Amino acid sequence: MKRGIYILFVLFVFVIDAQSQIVPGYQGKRTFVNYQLNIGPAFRRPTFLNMVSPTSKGSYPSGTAEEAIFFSFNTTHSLNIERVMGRKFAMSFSYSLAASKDYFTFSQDIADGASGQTTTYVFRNKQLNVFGHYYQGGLIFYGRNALAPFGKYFKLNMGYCSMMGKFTDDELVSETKSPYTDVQAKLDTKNAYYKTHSFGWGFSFGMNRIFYNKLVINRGISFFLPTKPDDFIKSSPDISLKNITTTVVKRLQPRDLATFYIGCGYLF
Amino acid sequence: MIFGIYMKKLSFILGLTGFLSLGVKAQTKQFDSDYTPLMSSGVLPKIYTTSATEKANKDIATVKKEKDYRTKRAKENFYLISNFQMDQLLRSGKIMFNDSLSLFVNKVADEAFKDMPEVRKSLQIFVMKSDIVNAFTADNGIIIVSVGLLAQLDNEAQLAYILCHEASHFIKKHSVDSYVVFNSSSQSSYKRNSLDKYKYSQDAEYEADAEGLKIFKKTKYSYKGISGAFNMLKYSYLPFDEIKFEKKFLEDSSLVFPKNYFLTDTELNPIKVDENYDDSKSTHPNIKKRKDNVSKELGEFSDEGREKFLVNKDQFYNMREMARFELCNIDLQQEEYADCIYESYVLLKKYPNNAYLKKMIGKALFNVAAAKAPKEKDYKPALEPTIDIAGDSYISYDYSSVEGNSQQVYHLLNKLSAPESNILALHYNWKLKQELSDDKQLSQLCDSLFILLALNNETTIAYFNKKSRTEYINETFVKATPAVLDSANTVKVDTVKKTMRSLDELENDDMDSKISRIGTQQVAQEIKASKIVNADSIHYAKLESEFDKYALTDLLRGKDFESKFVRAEEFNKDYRNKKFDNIVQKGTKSTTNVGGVGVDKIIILDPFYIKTDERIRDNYKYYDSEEKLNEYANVLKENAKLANLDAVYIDSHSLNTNDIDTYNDYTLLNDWMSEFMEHGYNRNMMILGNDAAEKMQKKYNTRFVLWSGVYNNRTEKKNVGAAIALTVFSGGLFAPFTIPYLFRKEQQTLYFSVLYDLEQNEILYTNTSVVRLSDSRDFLNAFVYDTMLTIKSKPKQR
Repeated sequence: MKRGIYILFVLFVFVIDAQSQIVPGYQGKRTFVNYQLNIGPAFRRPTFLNMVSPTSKGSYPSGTAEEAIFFSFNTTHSLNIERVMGRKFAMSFSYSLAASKDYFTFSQDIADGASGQTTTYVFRNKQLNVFGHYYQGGLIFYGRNALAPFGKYFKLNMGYCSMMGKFTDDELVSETKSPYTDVQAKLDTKNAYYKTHSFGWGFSFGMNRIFYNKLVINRGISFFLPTKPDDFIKSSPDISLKNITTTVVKRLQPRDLATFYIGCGYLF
Repeated sequence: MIFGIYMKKLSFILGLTGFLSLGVKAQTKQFDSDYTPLMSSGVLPKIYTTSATEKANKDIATVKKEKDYRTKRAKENFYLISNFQMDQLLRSGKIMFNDSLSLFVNKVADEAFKDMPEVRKSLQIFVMKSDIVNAFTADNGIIIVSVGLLAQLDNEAQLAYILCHEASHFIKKHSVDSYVVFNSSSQSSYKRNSLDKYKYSQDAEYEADAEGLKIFKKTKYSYKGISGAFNMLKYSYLPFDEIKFEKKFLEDSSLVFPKNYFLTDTELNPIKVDENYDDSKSTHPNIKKRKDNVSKELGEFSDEGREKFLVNKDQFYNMREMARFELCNIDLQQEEYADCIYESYVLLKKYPNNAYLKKMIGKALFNVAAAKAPKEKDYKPALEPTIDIAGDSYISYDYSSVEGNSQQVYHLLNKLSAPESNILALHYNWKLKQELSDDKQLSQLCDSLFILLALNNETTIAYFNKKSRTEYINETFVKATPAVLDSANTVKVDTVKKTMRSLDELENDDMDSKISRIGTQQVAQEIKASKIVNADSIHYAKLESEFDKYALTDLLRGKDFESKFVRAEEFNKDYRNKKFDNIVQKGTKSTTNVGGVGVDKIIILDPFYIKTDERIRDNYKYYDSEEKLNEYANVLKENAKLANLDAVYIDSHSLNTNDIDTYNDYTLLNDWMSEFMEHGYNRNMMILGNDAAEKMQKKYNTRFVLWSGVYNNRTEKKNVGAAIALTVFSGGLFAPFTIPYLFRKEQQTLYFSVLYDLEQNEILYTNTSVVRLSDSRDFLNAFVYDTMLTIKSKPKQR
């Protein structure tokens, strides 16, 4: 509630201020829609951007450094509509779809069926496909020497995001074996998926250039910070184990934390 | 080549006044009552309708066969630079053609080069509105002669020799050769240091003098023209005439300056002469060396059958007189107010009823007062200092180094305080207004002077004495004198009495003699000798110290004058109480938050576009600049149309043969802008050099002028190594930042637009932006449209 009041207050101030201004837009054109491609690094070796801190014994917080981090990207596709409200102020709404992959190396304590003893199994480089849906509203503040929609801007996003993860393999086979049965642990993920949703806020720095008086090309860097997930669903009892669940959810949250984007739109 | 820019001062006065008084009588009629400034006429010369790119390419094509690569490059570069720079000069609005001055100069050229038709055909001679005594030649045969030079001439023969000299530079190709020598390493005869350059330049001047003499010999002009030209150059730093500036000129019965406001004859700086000055760091040899050189070349000669005037003597004097009239206006526009007043004064001696000259003095006095007046409180200039298109107005009244009689004017302007300048300007202009009652501009000046006096100088009617100076003298001195008569020496007392009584007769008689008798020191000595110790000397000192308090007393008795002063006082009170928000806000209208300007029609004046590249030797990208200028012209037109703003486009770069009226409008507006910029941010001052406001209003039905331009500068990219290192060592993490940085061109672009109100003499709106981006079309469109829309939109009430 409080958050909503703050947002409304900020909006009110800027909209009122914009009303008293002469708003040129770009040659009178004040609205544009654009498609935006966001590219973020898909880190196999976690960095400060997607580090998962150990939360319990046996979790496997970081991946290995065996694979290069170059050339492995996650992408997000966004559709934006932006309306210029003031000389240096605009508002936007966007929908983004993230369809990308993530790699997990994690450990999981599993009770041995035969002996009843708990064994820690290690699962390495397990691919998780991640789908995210973002619905965001944005306030865009253009820079000192810019004139909306032309020039450099700072964009503040607020919105809802829903993310779902599913392992590529139906069955995850551990790398380590049980000392009791000398077999590898298997996790059935055929019907398992992870889903979380949360309110989030983000910001971006970018620049719009306009060609042929209609074509908007933009680029920049974007940050999105989901808040603590409101809820998550795990559909399969087989993987309702604490470590993997925590790891996946934590990885879902910050996976689009920083992306570089390039977009193309039409101004009218 | 510059013929006479480096002048040294000599120690005696040449009798220029003699030349001036000769032969002028015949054609004085046209100057008797008024004068209209000159304008160009006829068909525009082809050089104006051809782009600089075309001209440069044509010249560059001539050096294609040059075998030596470095020489070829140097020549190409020279033709590029010289063509573009000459083009800029021609389109500066300072050049006149087909006007009375240019036509006469061309007639003299026809006569001088009668036997050299090919040379004459190659020469194009123009006159430049400049007070500098100068003439120079471009390599393509364009000769520019300044108004300042024409005003100093004594006869046609002098002008003919100067033209011969300049034509020799053209024939000998001195400009291009000089450039090639010092910009091509293949030419090793001269080392590239400045002293060698001076030496080379001086050699070229000697050669031009000698070659000019050869051409001159073929003419029928008198050889006296040669020595005359050199003598004229010797004294060119002085005004065109030397006559005593009389104290009484600006005085009347109520306004009498203190004696120390004027220099005595002995205090005036003598005119120094040094013909043989050190010229080691000058592009021109000194006058003596040049005269010796020409004499040597001339050998034995006879002046028989040669004339000082071949075209027409009357026309020459007529032309020179016009140049002198023009010079007054040029000085006014360039804030050379002391020179303007002195030169107008000199001409007024010959044409005492000339309204133009009287107004020149009135205008100069106005702007002196305006420049000295304190700024209004709460004043904020509309033009932010971040765009330094005009520096702060700086007007010098330093009289210490001025020589000759004009020093008197410098001294007077230096002595006058801000309120005193204001009072003098008001006194002079009000009286002139009575004489020229139909003149609207004079009324405007007087109204402004009242405001300046009441508002800026905070002077009220109460400041001025109720008794006039004459009344004070009659009453006080007559009373005081009998009291001391008994003990005084009769003769001395008589002298003093006579002296004192003569003060009230100042306006009727020759003031010089009387003032000399009542001079402070002289009177004090006489009073002391006659044992009149205190009485009258105190009164006299009072008169001196309070001279300004008497200056307007007589005028204040006129109802019209008093009521205007009262109104100004009320205005001052209201202003200080901030009753007039619009006045307090004046000059801050650039804040777009308060809405638009509300103008429906504008004149877009000669935009500029400059592209430079710091990475290349000559920085200036000539071709690109001209190409982008054409594009920018379209951007301006297109966006004005989109904003529904009616715009008239006046541009010196898109002229056709028959666009002479547009060209004249352009020069008029350009002069207005130059003068405006001279004033810097001092909005007290007014544009008085021309009546562009009135003419534009009549012709285009608008008084608003938009001046706009773009400056793009490409610079060296720094931190390239750091960017590469960051990319590699971060394992590509920073690549999205560093790779675009490495590929991006490092440049800055400045856009600015200024909207002037010609009538109100103020900047109405400014729009500036500096971005670290290329000067792309979207950037231009965004800001130009914003400018046009803001100009068109109505102001919003907050």
